[in-house]
Amino acid sequence: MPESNPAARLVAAIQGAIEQHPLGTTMKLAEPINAGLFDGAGKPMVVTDASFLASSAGALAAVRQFFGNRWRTGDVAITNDADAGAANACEMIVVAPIFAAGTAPAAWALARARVPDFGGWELGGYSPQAVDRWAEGARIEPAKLVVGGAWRREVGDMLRLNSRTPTLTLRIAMILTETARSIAASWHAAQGIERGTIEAEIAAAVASESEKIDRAFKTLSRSKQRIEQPVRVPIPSEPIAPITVAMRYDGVRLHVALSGPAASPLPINLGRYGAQDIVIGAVSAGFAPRRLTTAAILDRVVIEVPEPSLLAAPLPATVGLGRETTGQAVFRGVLAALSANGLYVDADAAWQAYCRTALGGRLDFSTGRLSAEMAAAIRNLEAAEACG
Amino acid sequence: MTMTAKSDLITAEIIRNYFETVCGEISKVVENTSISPIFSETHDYSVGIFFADERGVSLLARAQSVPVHIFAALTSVETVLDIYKDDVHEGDLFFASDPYYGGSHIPDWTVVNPIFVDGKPRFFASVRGHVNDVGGCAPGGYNTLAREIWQEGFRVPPVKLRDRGELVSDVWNLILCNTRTKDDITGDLNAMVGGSVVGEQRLRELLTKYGEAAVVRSVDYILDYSENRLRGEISKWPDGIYRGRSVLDHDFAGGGDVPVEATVTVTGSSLKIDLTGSHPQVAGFVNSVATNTISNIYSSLVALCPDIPVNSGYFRPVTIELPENSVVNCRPPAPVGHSTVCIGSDIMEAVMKAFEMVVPALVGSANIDLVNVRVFGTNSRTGRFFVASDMTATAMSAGGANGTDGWGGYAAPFCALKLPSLEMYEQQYPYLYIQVEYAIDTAAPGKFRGAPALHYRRRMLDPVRAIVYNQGWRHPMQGYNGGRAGAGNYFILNEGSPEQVTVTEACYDVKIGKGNVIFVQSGAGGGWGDPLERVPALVAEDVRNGYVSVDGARRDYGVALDPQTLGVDQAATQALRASRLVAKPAPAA
Repeated sequence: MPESNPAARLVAAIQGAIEQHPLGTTMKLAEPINAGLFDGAGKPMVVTDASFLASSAGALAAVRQFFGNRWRTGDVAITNDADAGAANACEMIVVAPIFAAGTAPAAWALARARVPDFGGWELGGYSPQAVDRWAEGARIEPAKLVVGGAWRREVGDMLRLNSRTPTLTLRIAMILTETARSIAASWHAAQGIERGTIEAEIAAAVASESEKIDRAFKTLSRSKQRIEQPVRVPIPSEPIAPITVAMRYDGVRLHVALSGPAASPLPINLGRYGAQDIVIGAVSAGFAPRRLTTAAILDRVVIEVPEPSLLAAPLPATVGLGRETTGQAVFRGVLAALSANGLYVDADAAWQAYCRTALGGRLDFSTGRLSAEMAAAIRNLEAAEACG
Repeated sequence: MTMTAKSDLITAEIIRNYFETVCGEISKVVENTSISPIFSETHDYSVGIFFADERGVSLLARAQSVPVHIFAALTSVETVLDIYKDDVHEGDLFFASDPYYGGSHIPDWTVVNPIFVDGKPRFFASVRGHVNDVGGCAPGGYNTLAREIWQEGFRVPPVKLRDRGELVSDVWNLILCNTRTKDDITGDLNAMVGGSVVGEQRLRELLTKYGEAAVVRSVDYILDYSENRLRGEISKWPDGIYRGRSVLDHDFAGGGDVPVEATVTVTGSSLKIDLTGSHPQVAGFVNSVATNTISNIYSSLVALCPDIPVNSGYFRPVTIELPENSVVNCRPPAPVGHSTVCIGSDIMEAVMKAFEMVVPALVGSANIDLVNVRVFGTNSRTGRFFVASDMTATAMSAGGANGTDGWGGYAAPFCALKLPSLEMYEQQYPYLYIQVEYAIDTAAPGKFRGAPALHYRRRMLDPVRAIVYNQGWRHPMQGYNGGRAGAGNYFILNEGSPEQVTVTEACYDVKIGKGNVIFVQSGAGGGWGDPLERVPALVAEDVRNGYVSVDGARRDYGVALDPQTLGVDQAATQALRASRLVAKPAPAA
């Protein structure tokens, strides 16, 4: 049965775009595509998973700032910059403007996924020995992958040459591009059918999710929590100071203030928006039976992250294992604070689920490297795709 | 008025000189406008003017720069034209760096600026320069642990930096954001581009002044002239098959002795150079792509006949064969980061050793078996991250050649590299030099000796980290015609501290404490000719200069000196040399 409102239809369309592609299984092997639709000012409208809201909005803002008004129909830009929102060098984010009338984009489509490899020390993007961000992989501050609908050979070649899995990497970049185009097409379709009403419908969806969040938050006590959470790392190192999650609920909003040590020389730092994503992911895991698909939660959760620090480390800090190490500590810390406030969550189960949906479960924590099984699977897939 | 054949030749010669002058001007622009010392001080960049027609791409002229760069740049121009085909337009500007896309190693960046004649890209002003960092796993671009090219830096295929006059800002930024010192390298890239634009302007002026037809006609003369001159020389050389060999100490991956075998066949006025027999592709970062190998072979060749103008005509008499999947013709994803010098120098040396039997008077050290240290960290004076090469630590002691002792600088094929100002390094980086001087009894003995090895000590004023890579400890630079090999290379890191470590191969990411000292013996080039034929007075002068000890004079040169006056004892010297000559085995048949 068709979804009843444009927002839901857009989400369905995004999911459909992801799943219909022939490489859908490849993507599931690696990590799911996350995608979203943003308004002309870059504000989130609908997304496939609110856990990536902060970093997606950040990436879009960075891309828009880089290119200014140099956009035209059919353009698609790409970035993997952890200062702009990517988790690490292997996470590609593509952004496409959506034009209606006028010269400025009326909306933006965004799609993101992890590619199997993008340089660095080892296959898979985990480089426990990396000394800085450049050592973790090639960097793409925004570049246009498609200009006016035409694939850009130069940028495609750079993606290909800098990956150990050139076929898969290029293919995934194309999938992301197609996904962004599908989102744009869905937006245009929604505009055609429901001209003038889509914003209102999305506002209604936001209100609905807000209500759901408020209901869940009502169960929280108003006591302040302060949780110290150790950061587990797979790399032999000096002891790492724990991160701290301070949480309080004021009756309307949940305030989460993180603190932690300075950026680490180990690749366990989070990128600029990583901690915000993890907090949203953890809070969502605490009460949401299904993924949130609007920006409602950003109005209900206030997040403070010290920058620069382990929790938001700019260049040249390494970030390759950030989500799985420091990110895990943040996730568990937030859940512990929620539990202390009356909303018990099985942290292990929630983390496992989060890993599956958001991280792909690729890291062998005993080595700090890509798991052998995943490495073999990637190699086989690359060989098969390259032959095909 | 119709030009006579003679006046055409004169015009062509003027134009040939014009090309070379333009290259010099481009080079000066780069030197004066670049930021990093590797450009502005050391001149680790090269300039060339190329020409393309239906017969292919030709090098027309080069500045006095690093020949191994500019011969490889020819392939970059070919690759650009091959990829872009009809998509080359007025106002375009190209960039390339990937070794497997017409490059040599990733840090060698090339810009190519086309100049159109009759609507077609005919001339190209090109600058190829070694930038100080290209991202990748190791700051400074030399990853001694690399086992595949993705560990060496950001790979860039031919791309446009400027499209019909419009800056391609995202590609430009993409290249630069993959360097650790973006600000400095932006300046260097601007200098390269600026140099090529000056070249473009000068070539347009030339085309306007002499007319396009005359300039294009002159190209044939320029190339033919060099070809004919070299063929004339080769014709005087004895026909035959000659072999040379050079051995790299190790491959940085646990493999020892990596030989390069060169077979030179002289037939009439032609040469064939075949590197068959060279070591198979290795695990470490000394593999060379074919372009780099050919460029190094050419570098040896141009050292043989330095008075012939160097251009593609020079290489027409030469055919080259390279074994597949070898250290001199590797396949991706083999790492290649160190190949421009190691194995590059060994390729040159092997070829030069083969020519030793053809033209003994013309050969000399071609090798600079590189010792090098990349230091990186935060400069407390500026608060900024830095990556520093220090070319003072590289081999700076050339070997002897026929008629001249080795000089305190790079061997001939690298002689356009300049020894940097130590004060400039101290200004830019947290260094304090406490010793840079020749070491006694390290000069390779010969009728014309090599320059002494350098002893170099540098105190670090901030805690830093270092990547050190060394060759030429076990197989130092060879001598020629009876000249002996030079002294080897080695490092001592954290000298005199509990963390002291001696390095004869490589070490990666070593901490150097504040105030600690790096010591380098930067080896010496080989000698030329029998040391027993060296003029005794010159040996005495070497002793007075501190290059050779009294004992060394006796041991290595058969020269007896009065230890008080340092005067030559002629009678004792004659007797000493006579006894040595008697003791010498007869040369092999």
